[in-house]
Amino acid sequence: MTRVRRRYIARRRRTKIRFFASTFRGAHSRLIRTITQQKIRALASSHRDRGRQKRDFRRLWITRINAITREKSVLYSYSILIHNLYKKQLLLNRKIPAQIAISNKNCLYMISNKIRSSNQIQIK
Amino acid sequence: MNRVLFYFQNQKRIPNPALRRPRRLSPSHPRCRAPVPPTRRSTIAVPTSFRRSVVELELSLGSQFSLVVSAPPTKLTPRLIPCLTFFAETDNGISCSTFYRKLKALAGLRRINLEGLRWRVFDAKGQVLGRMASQISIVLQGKDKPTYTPYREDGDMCIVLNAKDICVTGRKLTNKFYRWHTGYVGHLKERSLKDQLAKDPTEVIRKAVFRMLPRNKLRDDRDRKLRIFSGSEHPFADRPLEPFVMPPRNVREMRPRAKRALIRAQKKAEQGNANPTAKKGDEAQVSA
Repeated sequence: MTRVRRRYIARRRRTKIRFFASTFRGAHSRLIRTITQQKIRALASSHRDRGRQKRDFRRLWITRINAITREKSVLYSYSILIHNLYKKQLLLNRKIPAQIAISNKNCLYMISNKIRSSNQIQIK
Repeated sequence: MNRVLFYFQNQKRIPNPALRRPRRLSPSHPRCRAPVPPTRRSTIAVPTSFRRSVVELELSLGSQFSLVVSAPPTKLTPRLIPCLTFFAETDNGISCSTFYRKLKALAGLRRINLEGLRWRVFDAKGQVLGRMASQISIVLQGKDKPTYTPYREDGDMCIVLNAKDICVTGRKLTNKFYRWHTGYVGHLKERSLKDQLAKDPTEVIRKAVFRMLPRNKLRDDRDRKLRIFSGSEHPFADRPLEPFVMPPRNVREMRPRAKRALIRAQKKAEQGNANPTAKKGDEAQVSA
């Protein structure tokens, strides 16, 4: 058999991986074996966290809406607001009221007041 | 103009500067510089290393301090200044121990970024321990604000007053124990609520709130924002304070046996001397 040298093949493969992990901390951006491991972990985390991101943001919006509805009156809360929204068949998701709460509080109060009063009248 | 007399009881003795050998300094040495007149922000010279040395401070509130110093100076750091304004109203001599205890209330304030934070005051008189602590923890985390962010520390400063008048239901006064292990074999220590209230009533509320905060990196910072006082005196009176109104609560009616015991105790009090102290004891059990 003729002699086969490995030459640059491995290095060419590894430079791409090295570029991916170039901003990592310490040995994770310097040592080749750790770099390959960290790249795998990073991609796995990002895959898993794309689903988690949707969960986390919904949690955050709910907390913020809860904060703002409780601030207004004592017996009011996120749960009652959402219940009223569903009763009125409004298609507001959690993201929009959370954004409204930060930028324009009174708008949210107006919406919640209107829904609450109209629902109460309907029940009566 | 207010006058404050400070007595510093310190064991150290300052060495007589006259006996010290004069050192030769070059003209560029910082000690050769002309002394800077004391401004509000810079360190102010006050003697602390004499036994029972007396310092007369003439404080003109709202403007620069001017100090009359009666002995060779050592440094008074700027963090003691808010304490001095607190004591400016009184005309008595204040001992060192109360001075340092009040200092503890102001400790670590510099570490907190106080911009835009409100100062909420909780009155713990007659409040149930756990219910109050959960409200405090909500405020400390900043969860009552629409700009709540889980990774950012944004809670308001909480001041709790009258910590010694906190109430608990049931038999917790005698039966609730705070336990800790010192690390040595067999050394599990415990202390009942009653003893803890006698020893340090602020620890009761502090533990309750600390254990209700989420266990993450922000927990210590949030604990630092909580200031508890066993009485109603606190050194933060000059800040804009907002009283916190506890949400209304349904107190369930008393169990039949407890109710009968209460009626019996009331009848006994009426038949007896009808002291105001006895009546107060009965009313305290209403929430149990």
